[in-house]
Amino acid sequence: MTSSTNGSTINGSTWRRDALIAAVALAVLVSLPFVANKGIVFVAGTLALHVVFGLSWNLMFGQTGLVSFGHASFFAIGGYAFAWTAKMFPQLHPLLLFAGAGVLGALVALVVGMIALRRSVGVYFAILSLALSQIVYLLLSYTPSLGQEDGLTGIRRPLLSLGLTTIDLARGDNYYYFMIAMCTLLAIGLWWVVHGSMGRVFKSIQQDPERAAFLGINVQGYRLRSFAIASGTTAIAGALYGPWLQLLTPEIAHWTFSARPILYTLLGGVQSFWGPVVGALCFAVLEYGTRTLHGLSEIVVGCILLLIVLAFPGGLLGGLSRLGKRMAGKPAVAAKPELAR
Amino acid sequence: MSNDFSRRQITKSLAVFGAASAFGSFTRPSFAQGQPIRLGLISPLSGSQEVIGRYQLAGATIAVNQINQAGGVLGRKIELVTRDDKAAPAAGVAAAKDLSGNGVNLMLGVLSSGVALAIAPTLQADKSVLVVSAAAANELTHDQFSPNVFRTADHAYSRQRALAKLVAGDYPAVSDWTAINPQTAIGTSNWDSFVDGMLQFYPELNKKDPKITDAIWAKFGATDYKNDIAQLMRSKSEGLYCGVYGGDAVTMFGQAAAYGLTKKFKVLVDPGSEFIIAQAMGKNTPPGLWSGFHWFYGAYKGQKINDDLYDAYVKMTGDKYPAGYVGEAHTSVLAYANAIQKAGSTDTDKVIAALEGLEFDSCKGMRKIRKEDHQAICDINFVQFGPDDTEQGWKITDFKVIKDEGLSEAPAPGQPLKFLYNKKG
Repeated sequence: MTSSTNGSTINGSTWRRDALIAAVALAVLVSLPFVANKGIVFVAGTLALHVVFGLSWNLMFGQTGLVSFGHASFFAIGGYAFAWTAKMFPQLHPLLLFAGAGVLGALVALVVGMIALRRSVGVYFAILSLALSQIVYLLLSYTPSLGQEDGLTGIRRPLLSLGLTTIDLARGDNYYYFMIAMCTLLAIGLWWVVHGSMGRVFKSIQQDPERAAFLGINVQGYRLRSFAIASGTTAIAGALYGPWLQLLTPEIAHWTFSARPILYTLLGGVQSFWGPVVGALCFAVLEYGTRTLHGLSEIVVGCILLLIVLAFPGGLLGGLSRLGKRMAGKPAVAAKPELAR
Repeated sequence: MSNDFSRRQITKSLAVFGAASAFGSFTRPSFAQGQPIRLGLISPLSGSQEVIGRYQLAGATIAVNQINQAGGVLGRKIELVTRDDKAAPAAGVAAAKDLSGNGVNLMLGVLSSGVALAIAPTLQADKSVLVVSAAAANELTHDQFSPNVFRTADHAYSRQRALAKLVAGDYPAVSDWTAINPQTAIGTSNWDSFVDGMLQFYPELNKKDPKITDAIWAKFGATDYKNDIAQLMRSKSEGLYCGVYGGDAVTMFGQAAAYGLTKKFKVLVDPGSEFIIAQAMGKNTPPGLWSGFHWFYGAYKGQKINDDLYDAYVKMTGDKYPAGYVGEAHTSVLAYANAIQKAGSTDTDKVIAALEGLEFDSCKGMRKIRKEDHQAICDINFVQFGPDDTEQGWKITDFKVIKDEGLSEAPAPGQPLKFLYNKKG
């Protein structure tokens, strides 16, 4: 796009701010195994995967205006593809398998998107994606080689050979660090897409697809790209999940799991890149904090989420940014038009 | 203004809540002599399986109270720390990690085999032990064996073979059997084990071969069994093994009543729904239905551990029908108490060594945990139900205790279960 001077200054300050936030978050995650117990480390590792899951969903929703109700299907496709190939072909390099899972996720999204995105966006696309996830769920629960309802058990954490040295990911917290590194790379990739020229094209489509088409943008093509990137990233997160839990069940393709990234995004804020991150973190803290309130946990978490959504209609970050503006003496109505949406 | 205030309040309380929950867990507890011995119970305490988790919680709580009243173990009291696994593998692993992270390395409970199989491989690295109180999958003591997992309850193979021994002995005229099973690993493994038992015990007891007709496979959690029932109505078999269990069995029998399915078959058996079918069906309880039990209190009347547990349960809950899960969770706590006493320590490795080969008394008599594959050898209980004219609508018409003499397979940890008679299995 052409708004180079303006764009680069905004990008410059955003880049510095985001890099600082990311560095702090990474420092916390890396030091966690030294200061916290295994329970918290397990929650944090799972949270890292959910952050990528949420970020990739918001690439479609917040950036491109595509609502998917079946994003979990790609998490499951990636997870099962990795676990099955790692079991059948243990000689293949794990990084190749993780990449393969991502490519498979993106390819499935391309094929599905070519059909589903041709005529339908909005609620039609949402329902089609929901149908896809239920198909994946049923296929997984009927396929004997994938363990049917019981899922795949005994998924091993692989040996990672890096030319000069080989790391056994099954030892200690090695897999946790590997997962944090992978999730960081995926998040950086998504940040780069959102803040680069492709992200600006996505944003223009989200704001007004007709005007974007009038400007000569291939709306269909870019929507497909957004869908494929989001799905590929999610598939890699799914692939990382198998060895982390050492077990996969068809539940990860269920629509209730597809609701997770939607909740994270609405909770944290749609308009900010960090929205799903804040949402997922908030959710994890709430779940962990209420884990001993047997039976009441879901009710407490649900009520708190409801309160947050009512108190901050634009998500936590949207609310904070409005609060900040009000504190600075600017009237609330001066918020950016997209925040008010 | 008031709106603003409440928002600030919410944010503030959320922040305090979040910080408190995070910091609360950062502090690592350390044991000193005289401090309680903490046992972690992992069980579904919310969600659809909570009804069963509640039984496990009751059984474990009663055992802990009884032990503490008698002076504890090694002079220390026992404390039960509970965690909800929601019968979901991911939540189960999170619960086990949370327990070991908080210094609770001795765990028990677990209803779902999926959860047990998910937790098993994580235990060794976390220096923890799990004593399984219910999950019956054969894999736990075979292909997926972990040196840190023990099972004090009966398993699928011994239970289903005991059921075959029961019907082969009591119903010699019924030689043709078929089944309706859920498409799950446990569904397949239960049926294969039952067939294995039939192929051994029927010829041994009746001097002729049984006929096994191919089973009908239904979707786990299905809501419509009409096609399957219609297929069963055309079957020539006289005995029906109803492998669909729990809520699915209630749905299936509810729909089957209209077709007269329960009258068509001479014998109906169920692998382990315990009281669930009778309590849900009331007056429509299939007459003569044999159901597998983890523990049936009525079979051990007069034995102190059994009677004390039953009385404590009725006093605690007001419910007169404790499910077998109560007894099995109670047993797992007793196993720990015996092992800790024997080891003189709560150290994980020492407790593991003490559990191996442990013989101890329980609500269904003496049990022995095999050293090789960590499977307990114990009695297997069955109860027969039928409809009744009372308000309750059902009654217990008979019960059986089958001793595990030649029911369990030879220990083979790390290797898949080999069926001796059922070559298809």
